[in-house]
Amino acid sequence: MSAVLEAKNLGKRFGAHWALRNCTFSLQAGQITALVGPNGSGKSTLLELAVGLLSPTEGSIEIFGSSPLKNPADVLQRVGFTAQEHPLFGGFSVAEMLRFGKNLNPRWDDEFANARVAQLGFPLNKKIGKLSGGQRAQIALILALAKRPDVVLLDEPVASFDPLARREFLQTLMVTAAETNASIVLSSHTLEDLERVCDSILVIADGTIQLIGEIESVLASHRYVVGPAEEEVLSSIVHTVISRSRTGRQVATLVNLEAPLVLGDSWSVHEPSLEDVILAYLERSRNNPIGITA
Amino acid sequence: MIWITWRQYRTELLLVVGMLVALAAYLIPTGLQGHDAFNSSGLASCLSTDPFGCWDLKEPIQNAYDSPQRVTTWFIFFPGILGVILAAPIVFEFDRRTYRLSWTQSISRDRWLWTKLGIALLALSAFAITFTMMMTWWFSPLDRLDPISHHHLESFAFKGAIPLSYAALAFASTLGIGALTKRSIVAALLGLVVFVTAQILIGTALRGSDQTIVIDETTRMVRDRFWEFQLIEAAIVLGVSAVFIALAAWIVKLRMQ
Repeated sequence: MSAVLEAKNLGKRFGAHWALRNCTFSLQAGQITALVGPNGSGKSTLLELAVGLLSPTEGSIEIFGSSPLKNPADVLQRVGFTAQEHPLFGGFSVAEMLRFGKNLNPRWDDEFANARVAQLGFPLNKKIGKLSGGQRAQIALILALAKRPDVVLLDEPVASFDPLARREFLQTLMVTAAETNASIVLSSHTLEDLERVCDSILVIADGTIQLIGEIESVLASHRYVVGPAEEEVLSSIVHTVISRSRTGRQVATLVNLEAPLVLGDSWSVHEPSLEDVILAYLERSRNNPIGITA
Repeated sequence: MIWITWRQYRTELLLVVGMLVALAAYLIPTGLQGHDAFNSSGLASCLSTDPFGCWDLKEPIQNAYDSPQRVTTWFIFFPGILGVILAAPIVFEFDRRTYRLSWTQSISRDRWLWTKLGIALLALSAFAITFTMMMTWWFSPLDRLDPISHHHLESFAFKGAIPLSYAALAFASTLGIGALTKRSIVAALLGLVVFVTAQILIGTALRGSDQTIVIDETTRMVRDRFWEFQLIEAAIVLGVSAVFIALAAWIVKLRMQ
């Protein structure tokens, strides 16, 4: 079976600026992937390339083996997409917005869409422009999911939510994903709650991929190694050092394990949190702008 | 797609209908006065027997049109405003960035563009033709004063294919500039600028409008070769419009990526 999303040496340049470069990765079906990176790191560019809103400057990106620009009819039916800031028609009522989705999508599930709107308690005749940011995000998600897509790409879906709404939203997303078997990629500039929801992560900074993998294996393959400052060199011979911080006479090093750790008595090993790992990669990309894949 | 286009155009279509009703509210009573003046003057029968003996009879008709014409001169802007208004719903999609929603449904960008363009241009034609018919009726008593008084130059831009072609130009330039800049206000203003500039440049070059001796000559030409002049001017204006439409389609297909 072909990958849900596969990028080969993907790059996108705007004027003189490369928003994305040298991206090669592939996402397998049935996973919920968090696309994480700071603002302006290339997350939106990547997702817009995936749905064909942008065309690659170099390389390629395919969804289920089809290019979104060469075969829009194949790709668009199978993709549910919400763009950043959830563009909707402000003058439309909720009911009209759903009718828009129904008219343009052959696989549209009207029952699902209406049930979700009823569940959220949005009046059908309310104007989209009168809804709150969070409510608009919900409508955008319903539009994307009612297409009955095989893959859902969400650009900053929870950015306009308060913490409680964010948790509820992600909950809905997980339930729906389980019901429909859709793969999901969602981008976020914050890490909060993502670990609970996602199976894998793709960390992007400065337009390049810093880290990609299943969360479990990412956690399993990274360790904090703390030891005396004068011996720190030992660990970096075998393992890739992601970050290093000095406190007094001790040095804490986050390493990507490439072999079992063999350390002297003066060393201790700690499991990092996902947030620690991601932040270490982001920090590293700021100091050293060449990404690697784990 | 047709329902969506209708829904997105509803306000604009009502606006244009409102404008046409307002124009009609002025044109119908003043036009009826003009027609009455013509019919009661006896000019019709006079012209068919001895055209050059009817000078005195044209007076009441010219009086009837004198002050209304100062108002209807401004109606020349209607095709321009019509074009800008009908381009607005598409330009809004670029400006408000909702194209990211429209182009990620299950239909291709091509179908989206051509359906919208098709329906917009259909509406544009219907409105422009209605306007042309109203103006042609309104001007007909003046046009019938020929050969003792020439008004063909005044009515030329309101008749035939001219209003439709300039409405298409305003529509296409607003659309093209809107796709390029993604700014509704800029697109609407520049669309009107293109419309006015074209009226002045093309209109002057082809019809001539300076108040010189040439005017009688030009008037006669405009009268005798009405459709030839009409079609040449319309073809040029529609040609420029097609360039703007092509620009918009090119940006939608290739640039906005």
